[in-house]
Amino acid sequence: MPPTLSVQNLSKSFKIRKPAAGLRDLWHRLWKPEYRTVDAVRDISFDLHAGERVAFIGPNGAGKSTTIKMAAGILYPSAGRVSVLGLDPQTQRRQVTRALGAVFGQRSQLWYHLPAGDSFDLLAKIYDMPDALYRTRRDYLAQSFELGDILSRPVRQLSLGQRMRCEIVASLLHKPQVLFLDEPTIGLDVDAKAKIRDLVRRTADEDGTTVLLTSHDTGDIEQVCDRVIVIDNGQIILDESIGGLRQRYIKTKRVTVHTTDAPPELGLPGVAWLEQSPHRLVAEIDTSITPAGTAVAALLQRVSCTDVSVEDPPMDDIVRRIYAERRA
Amino acid sequence: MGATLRLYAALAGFSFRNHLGSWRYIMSRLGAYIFFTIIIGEFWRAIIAQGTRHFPFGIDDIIWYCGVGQLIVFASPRIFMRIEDDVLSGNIAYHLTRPVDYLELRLAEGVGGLAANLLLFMPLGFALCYFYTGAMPRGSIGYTALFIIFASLLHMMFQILAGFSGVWIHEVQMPYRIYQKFMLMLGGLEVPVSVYPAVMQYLAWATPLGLLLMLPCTAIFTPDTGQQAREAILMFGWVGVIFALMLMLYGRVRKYISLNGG
Repeated sequence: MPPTLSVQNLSKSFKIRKPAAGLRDLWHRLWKPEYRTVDAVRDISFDLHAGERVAFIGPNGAGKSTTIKMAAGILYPSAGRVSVLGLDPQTQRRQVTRALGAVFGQRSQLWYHLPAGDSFDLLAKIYDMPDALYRTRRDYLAQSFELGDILSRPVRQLSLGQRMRCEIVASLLHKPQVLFLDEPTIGLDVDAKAKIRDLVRRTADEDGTTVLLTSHDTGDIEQVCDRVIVIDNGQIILDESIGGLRQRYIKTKRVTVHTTDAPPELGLPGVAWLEQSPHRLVAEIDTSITPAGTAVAALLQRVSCTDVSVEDPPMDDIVRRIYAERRA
Repeated sequence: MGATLRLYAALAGFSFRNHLGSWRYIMSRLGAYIFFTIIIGEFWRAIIAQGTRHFPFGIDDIIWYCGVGQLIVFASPRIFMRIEDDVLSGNIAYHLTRPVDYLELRLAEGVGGLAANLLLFMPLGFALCYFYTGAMPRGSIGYTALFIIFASLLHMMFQILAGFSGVWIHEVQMPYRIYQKFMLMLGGLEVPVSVYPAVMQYLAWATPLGLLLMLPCTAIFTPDTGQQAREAILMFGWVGVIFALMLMLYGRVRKYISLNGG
């Protein structure tokens, strides 16, 4: 079966104007600008098959968003090719966009001053959806994503979590075969993140949607995706299953305790203090040595705390670990 | 083709309803329109009453003239501000993930908003001038309405050009303000171009910036329908030229975004 999204030897370079050094140079550069070339993506290849949910991760500036933009037909590659359902996003943009859904966490795709429901109506027209089909789909998604009265409120009045749920519904309305999610949970609280991850996973499962997700949040990747592609400096450095990544690289948890107590001696193997400040203690637990539950219980017995949270290590740490291992 | 036209009609219809539903927006604009038309009307009443200079128009003519000029300014949706937001934030690139062109989307929205505004402003503006002067205009209201529609379309396209220029100069307000200054000055918003020095009159006739305001405003007191028909053709020609320029610039914008990502 041909891949839903195929990226072959894809590269993208940007020409950046060199800044002037001094007044004389400024005058000179005004007439003869000089440029340097930045390689954002360098000869990457991967295939995504129908129904796959893939995390595309890497540190800031690694080339994730550039790749997604090329796959969506926004940016043209400098070399290589992308195909979505066998179509070229560069020359067949309109056909490709009908099969695509996209959410860019830091950008709103809804009409800011209109109620979200009106934005959905407009999108139904843009995607040429028959009225009956649109209404059924909208009602189903609105119920799944618990939009309720949110639909009648202008987007500018919604909280970030509410807006993000609307953005995702907007991207799913036309039942896309491929869904690009670029930082869909950025800035959301723990509850909102959990809800969005669950809904994205469930909806993608039901519709058989291929998902390409970028995020700095390990939780997004673990809870939504089955496979992970790690990119750094524009090159793919790892492509494997989430199970494999978890086994090899996500071996630690971070426990943050808000307390005024002094850090106690834990005496547990694989647990170490990362940060000790007057109101906050952060410990790292190697879960392959001591289970997270055991370590947290021991910690809570020894300090009186006002709040506690358990998190995965930041994505940058994981990428650093992958990078260090590959270099070694 | 049919589906595309249906889409534009739907987008324009949506914008139309949205504009008509924004009562505060409409009332504030209408209030400002009435206020400025009366202020400038009174200003001209005082000048003409002094009798120190002969003008080729009467007080009723000039009040109708000002009413039409202000109508074009106040009825036009500020589409450049939407484009400014999209261009300066880089959001314009993300619109390309949908099966509709950005330019088509904004144009359809602009036409819808403009239609809603004109539907309210034209009858109210004509009624205001009629009750204010107590007389019908000497020129054809039909031709004037046609000129107003052409002028508003031209104004909208100039706004789009100003908005797109932000891709390169990273600012939209400045090019828009420059255009607006030329348009108001050469078009003779408050003082008819026929009062200007010869060189300014030449400039007003030679550029669409001047014609945009001048033709609809003067049509209201020009009884010669033959002249109006010729001027309507001239203005239609300029709509075509500026439309072509807008398409060309949009092509450049698309190319820029596809190479640089917005």
